[in-house]
Amino acid sequence: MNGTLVEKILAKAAGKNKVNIGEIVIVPVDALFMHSPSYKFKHFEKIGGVKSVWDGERVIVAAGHHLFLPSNQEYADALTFVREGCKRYGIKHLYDMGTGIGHYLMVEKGHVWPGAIAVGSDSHTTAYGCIGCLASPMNFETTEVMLSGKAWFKVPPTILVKLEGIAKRGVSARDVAQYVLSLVGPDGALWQAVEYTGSYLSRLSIQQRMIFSLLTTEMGGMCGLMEPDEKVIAFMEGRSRRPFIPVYRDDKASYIRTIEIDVSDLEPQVAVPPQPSNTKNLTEVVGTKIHQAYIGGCTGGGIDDMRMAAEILRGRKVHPAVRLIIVPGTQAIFTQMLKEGLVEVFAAAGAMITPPYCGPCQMICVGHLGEGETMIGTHPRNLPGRAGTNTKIYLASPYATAAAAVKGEIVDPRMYL
Amino acid sequence: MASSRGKAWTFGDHINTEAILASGKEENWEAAQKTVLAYYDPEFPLKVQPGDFIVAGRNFGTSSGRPAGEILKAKGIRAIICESAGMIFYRNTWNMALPVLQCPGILAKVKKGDELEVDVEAGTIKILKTGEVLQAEETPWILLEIYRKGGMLGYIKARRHEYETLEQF
Repeated sequence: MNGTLVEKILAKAAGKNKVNIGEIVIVPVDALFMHSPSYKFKHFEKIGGVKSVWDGERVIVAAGHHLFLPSNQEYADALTFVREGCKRYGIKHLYDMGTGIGHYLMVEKGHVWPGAIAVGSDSHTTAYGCIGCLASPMNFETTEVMLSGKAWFKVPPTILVKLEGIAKRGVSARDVAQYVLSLVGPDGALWQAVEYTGSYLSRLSIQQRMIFSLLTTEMGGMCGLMEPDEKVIAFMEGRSRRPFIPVYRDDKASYIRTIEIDVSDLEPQVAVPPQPSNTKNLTEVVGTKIHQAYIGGCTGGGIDDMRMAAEILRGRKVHPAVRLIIVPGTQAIFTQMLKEGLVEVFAAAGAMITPPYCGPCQMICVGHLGEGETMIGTHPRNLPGRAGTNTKIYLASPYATAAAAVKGEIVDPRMYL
Repeated sequence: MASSRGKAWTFGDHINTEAILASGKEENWEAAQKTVLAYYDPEFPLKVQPGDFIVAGRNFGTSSGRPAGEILKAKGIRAIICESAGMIFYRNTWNMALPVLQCPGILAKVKKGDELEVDVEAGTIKILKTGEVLQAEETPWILLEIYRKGGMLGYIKARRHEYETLEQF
């Protein structure tokens, strides 16, 4: 067959030579991710007689995804319910308070691998496509997946995105991914897969590649993925929980659309409210006053993101009218920040650093905005309702976010580089 | 299954799940009932009636995978008819036995308050003021099967013997 990456992975899992676009396939899943399985455990009670999940090794719960510590008893009790549920149903992997964002952990801890099929209850589950895994979000029905170990997919057409060239200084992977998102649009990949390739991508770290696979969900995509290269295979060594045979696309695979981008001329980008795909050149919003800046989240909590932020913040101070919150993606990322002296740079600048978790992306734990406030951040989403009423969220690179925190308003970060 | 009649509430493109069930309100049902879709139509949470329909534009229920359909179901919405729906919302909501029909062209033909007659199984939407009948896109067979069992929980219970993870009563 001449299949795209997603067609090849689905065909292999379905035990077929070929799958057809639009066909419904029911396949075994290699990993199931959940951050807050409370209501799925309540489903179990309604079903009655649930002995265990299908395979406790393959179900991963990141209870610390949204909270690093519960801020009230309601949250604390909800977490107790999750811990007890994991024990009762034989779920082996529970990442508790302070361990980090589930999407980074899934990759870092080897719960997914090239050619694997993963589903997750969080819409940003598309993240794990960065290592050549088919990762797709589904929420309500993860109850059924926990019992059967299988999920259904409608075989998607694939968009191919080719990224070539070397980006200018001060233009990061987030800027490029944000630009791709603006080209495809908020529903341009609805029920479709997006496959990323090209020399620009191959030079990026695994965590920076994840920004592309993860933001695919903001295009409506079923999954965003890329072929595993030598970097991925080396990364998986000693990490993957299972032996695997990588899956690659065929040379003559056919795509519904091909988007070719030369990143060399790209300027810093920003997503303006109220939608992640609402991307502009950052220069168009220069001068916008901000109250809070956030470096972290599943698209900005990686070690490269922290290094970029430190490049701007080294020897500078956060503007007195701004709260800068920095949140590492995982404990391992935090440890690396310590080793590289980044924590010292951030503390000297007057930034706050919290334990690893989602941060003020979903405004659940800390860092809520007040009425009429504006925030800039490296996190994935800026929708109305996400951060209270009458608030504005801009999304940008770690460079641009750190620079705005220093200046007190959105500014071209290259003036500090 | 028989068709049902009700009034339409109309919404535009890219209505996200935050606006249906906001972050942090998943466990606070009372607050969620007051704010559902209020960002786009403040009348909706106050005046929606059981049996009403939502008619929306492209990409309805986009973004977060939270089970936002549950609040619409609690409000008595009988079905959602949209130009297209966010994938997770679409899967979630059918699994709650609340149908989501994708019917390109619907939004231009229906105004807020118009009466509709919807046949979920047939995928047809009749606009009573004009008598025009629109045909929705085909729903994946597996979702119709789940819907016929009353949603995912009924689907699991009806096939209990297929699960090694369940005790057999």
